[in-house]
Amino acid sequence: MAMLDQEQSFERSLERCLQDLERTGDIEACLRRYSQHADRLRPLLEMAQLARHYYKYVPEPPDGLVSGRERLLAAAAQQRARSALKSEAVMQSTKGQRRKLAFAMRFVGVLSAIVLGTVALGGGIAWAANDSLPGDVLYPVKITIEDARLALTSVPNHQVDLLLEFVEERVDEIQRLSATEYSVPGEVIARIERHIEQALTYAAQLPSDEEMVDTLGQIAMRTRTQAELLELMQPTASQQARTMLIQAAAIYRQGSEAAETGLGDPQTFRSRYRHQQGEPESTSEPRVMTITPGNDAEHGQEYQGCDQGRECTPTGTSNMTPQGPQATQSPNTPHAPQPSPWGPQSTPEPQPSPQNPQPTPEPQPTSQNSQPTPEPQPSPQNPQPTPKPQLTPEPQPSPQNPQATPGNPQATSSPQSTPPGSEVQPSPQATPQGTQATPKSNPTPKGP
Amino acid sequence: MANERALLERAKQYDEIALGELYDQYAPRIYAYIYRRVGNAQLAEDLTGDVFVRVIQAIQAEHLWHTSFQAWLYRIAHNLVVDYYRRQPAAVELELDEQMIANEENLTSTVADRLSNQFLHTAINRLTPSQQQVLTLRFGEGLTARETAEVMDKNTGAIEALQRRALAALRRVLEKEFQYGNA
Repeated sequence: MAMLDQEQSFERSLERCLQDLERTGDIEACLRRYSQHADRLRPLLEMAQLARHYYKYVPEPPDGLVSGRERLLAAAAQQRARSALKSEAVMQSTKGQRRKLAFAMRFVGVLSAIVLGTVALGGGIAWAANDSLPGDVLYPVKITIEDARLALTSVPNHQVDLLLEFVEERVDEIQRLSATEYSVPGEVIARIERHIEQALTYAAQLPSDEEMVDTLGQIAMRTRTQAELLELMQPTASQQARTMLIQAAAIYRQGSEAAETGLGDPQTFRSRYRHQQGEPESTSEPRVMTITPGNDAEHGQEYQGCDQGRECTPTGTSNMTPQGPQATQSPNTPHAPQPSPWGPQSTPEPQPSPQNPQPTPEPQPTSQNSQPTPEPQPSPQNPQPTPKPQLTPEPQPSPQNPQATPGNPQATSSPQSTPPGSEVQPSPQATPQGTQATPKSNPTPKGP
Repeated sequence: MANERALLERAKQYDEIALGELYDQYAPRIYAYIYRRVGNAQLAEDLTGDVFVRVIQAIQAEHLWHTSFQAWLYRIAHNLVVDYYRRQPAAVELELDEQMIANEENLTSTVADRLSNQFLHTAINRLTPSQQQVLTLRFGEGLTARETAEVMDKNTGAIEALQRRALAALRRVLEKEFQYGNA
């Protein structure tokens, strides 16, 4: 206890000295004031002064920060235009939905009861459902309307547009849910995965490479934007919400990467995704995917686990590469009604497992080397594939790959500057450039 | 503060004037922070632009910034910096800006003075990203422990402990590899 008090006293002394030092720059005065800690304070205060000296100089920005301002205003103008279009589209789609629902009644038996109810209660319900969230009474109506819109669209380009609109709507829902105590049901995550993969599959069916590349560009850009939005929400989200945000962001990120892979190698992409044609649609189990949340697996002792000190628990696997017949949404049967519009649900979020905090990551098939696997293989972490995509923690960090950053799941494997768990890195990150001898050869660089 | 709140409300609606004011107010600080982390003025300016584009993409999610807009900006900047390093081969990381080595303030100093910036630069980059971040925020940006805690999503006690470890680690690197203090 006395030891603890002494440490706290030292921490307080250090903090006060740092504050004084900023004003006066006088280390000796501080040491006199806290003479009981002088021996320990001196080296730290010297380092603080060195750091302050080092950080003092900042050159003028080469472009006077003008280009950044222009980019900001251009992005704002784009967002304004997008918002205006979205508002208009919502109004038009509400009208269109009513017409389409009435049409769908005659042909889609499964939907008829809901559509009848919707029509009976007036278009107001459809409109109200538009704003509903998972768990709301009207949410199944919203999902049904989405399915109906997709079912009534036959042009692949339009289908991709619709699917991207739906996955963007999911982000909006997740964003609103993350501010509440409610979690996002696994079905919502599974639906996102399914829709992104459907969009990729439709893109692969486009007749010309030019069209396919254009569409893949759209998919890559729009899913990447959504991933970034989800990543930006993470730092301030609750722990429970953050886990869900990481999962969702990883799915969007993988969708974006799959589309980008297609941009780089259209022929391979086309053959891979066309391979799914004619395969039976999975209605209860989405394909198995492997998600690697490179995002929050921050390195170093201050950031460990996938969530700034909190660990992610694997809850499934996911990968945007088709895995096999059972796990594939068939492009030929995209209009089938979805298994079940889900009702109110409280989905327990994955909890860290003390027995297995960092399970061995499963190998991830890549677009370059993966062969479609006939069936998803159960693993010790995932004995039975579930609809909910699972997080697979990153491989054990190594000096070559120690870092991952909150909010940036896309980069996971480049060489890192800082090994985890160590305060000092063993290898130089940057070598001083110039004509001077190497640091070792200059034994006494100037101290403070 | 009330004025900033009003600006942010207008910025949420993508009001150009409000966004311009916020940019003018915060961009120099964010630029300086990024420069201190990467040591390259052009790169720092580019990444500063990226920070504000991300702001636009997410400003409607008010819960991200309602406690502190400044802290949110620093968080985005930190993420972009770490992301940048992760995408770079280690060999091309952090070539210290020539200007930083021979800045005007140092012209009157000795060669050893100028060298010390290089050594410090190398030594600081051996620290963990969190340690680098806390040193930059506290001794570069001049934030208080509480403000730093907001940026780093930790409590004040954790920040104080982190900065102590960072200073101690910096000392160890300088002593071990650059024989600091052994003259």
